[in-house]
Amino acid sequence: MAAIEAKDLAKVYDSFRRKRSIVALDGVTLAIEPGEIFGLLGPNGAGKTTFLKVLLGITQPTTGTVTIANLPPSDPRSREEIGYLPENPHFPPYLTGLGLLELAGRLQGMPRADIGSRADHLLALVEMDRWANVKTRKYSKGMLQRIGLAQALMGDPDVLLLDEPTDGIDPVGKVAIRQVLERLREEGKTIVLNSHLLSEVEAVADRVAILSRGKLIRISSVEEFTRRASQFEVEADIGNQILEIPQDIGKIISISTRQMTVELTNDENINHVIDYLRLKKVSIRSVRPLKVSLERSFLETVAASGENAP
Amino acid sequence: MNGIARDSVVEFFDRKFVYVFIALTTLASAVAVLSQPEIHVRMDGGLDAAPMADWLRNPVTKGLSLFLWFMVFLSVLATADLVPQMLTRGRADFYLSKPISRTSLLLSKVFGIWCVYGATLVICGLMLYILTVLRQGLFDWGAFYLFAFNLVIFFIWLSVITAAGVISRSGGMAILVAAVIWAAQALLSFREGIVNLGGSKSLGRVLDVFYYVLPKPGEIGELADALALGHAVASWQPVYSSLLFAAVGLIVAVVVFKRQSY
Repeated sequence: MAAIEAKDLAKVYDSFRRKRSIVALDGVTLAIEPGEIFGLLGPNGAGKTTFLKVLLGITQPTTGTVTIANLPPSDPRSREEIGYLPENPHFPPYLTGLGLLELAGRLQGMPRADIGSRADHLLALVEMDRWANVKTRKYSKGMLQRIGLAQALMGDPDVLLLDEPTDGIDPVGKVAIRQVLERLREEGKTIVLNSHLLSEVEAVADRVAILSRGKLIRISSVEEFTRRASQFEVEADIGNQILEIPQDIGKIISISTRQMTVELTNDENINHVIDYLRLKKVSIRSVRPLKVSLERSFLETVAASGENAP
Repeated sequence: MNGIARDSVVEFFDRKFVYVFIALTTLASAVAVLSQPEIHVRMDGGLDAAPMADWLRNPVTKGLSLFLWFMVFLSVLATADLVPQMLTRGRADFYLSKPISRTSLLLSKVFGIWCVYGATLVICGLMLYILTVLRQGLFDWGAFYLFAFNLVIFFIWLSVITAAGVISRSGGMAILVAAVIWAAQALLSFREGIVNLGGSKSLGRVLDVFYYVLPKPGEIGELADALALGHAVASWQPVYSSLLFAAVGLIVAVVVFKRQSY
């Protein structure tokens, strides 16, 4: 059973002032498995936040269905095992950090006896224990993100929906949050990560989906996403030799005295390239599939779909 | 409770309005303590105890009634933006992402606000009344009708501003709607006079419909005053029809809230 399942999900906002409709989600179908860290990418206005809000029942879909642990968002029980960090959180300003966590615990239905100890543990985890008794109206953006992550974790949920969790957080804090995410992965939590920081998603996510103008334009593992099909990087002592490979095997994209990049008609042809280099008495140091950063792959995918990058 | 009602207590003490309530109570208490009761009894015949007591408690009852009216007025102003603020972007996400139904969330919030501000109204009113009793030496259980009915009046206004706040998501709009309803109910209490001024019978019927549909907190206040002074009540219709309006207002607020996207 998928932890999260969406089928033909659509959300259209009718704007009377602009006399036009805005399509936030357009037939999105996807399934997220338990224990998976799932990155949700897309340019601004692609529908990422709307997708998370539909999962939570905060926004009503126009058409389509969505379930969390087989329950629809209209059923409050579907949120019993969900923790959510909203984008730009504005928590009740009259509450202290500790008060916010206590309220979150009560709303989550936690036993009263457990709330205090859990809140103390999470305040230490997100390094907000020094600010526990300060009202949230005095918190900086980064502090709001930290306390937001803590309140999302309050009920020890199985599923975490994090919308831009490192937005406004300093580099040290980002590393700390990444460590928290990795620890949660080890605990088998399902995490949906909506972030503009693609290096961050690449570091922790198992799979990613790209949304563009509300449409799901690609979904695959990070490995597949960042790997260039049948492109290899060969480190070798090439020197000034002139190398050529037959067209039916592939072609050399770039070459220097110590390295070359080849694009082959299929992956198996790398063996022919290795044989050819040995024949030419070229000493091979390493052969590896060519990878690009998630950011570059994302930009190429979005550009191919005709949408602007963030 | 799910924590929302308790949340209302924390929110209440964080707001500056608490000082306004304290200031109003202090001012009213000062007036009650410093005023000199001047009682001149003309001994020109037999003294009837009942009208005498009524005459003596009238200023006390009227004063307490006026004080509680101000408290309800301030409470409406203070609470008009509480529900719209809960529904602002970012804050609504926090509440709505928890495993609690929207119906429960909204009704808990309204209940919490009513309890906290109602308790403030009763505590401030009791303080004033006790001081007045100590000063004047007159105690009357009838005064407690004023507390009970002003809590009902506050509940009616709270349902109005809740419904207006959920639909418009604006505290200012909620106050405006409450003001329009207050003006309308005040005007409708003179509907017979309006019709006599030259209106047609159909206008009279229309005004009658509005009169029976809209809440009548003004008439409930008069009814409470009458009960506090030990008079009989001619009709409970203003209470029933106003409570019905309040219930419908809350149902509308819940239905709209359940359908809205945030």
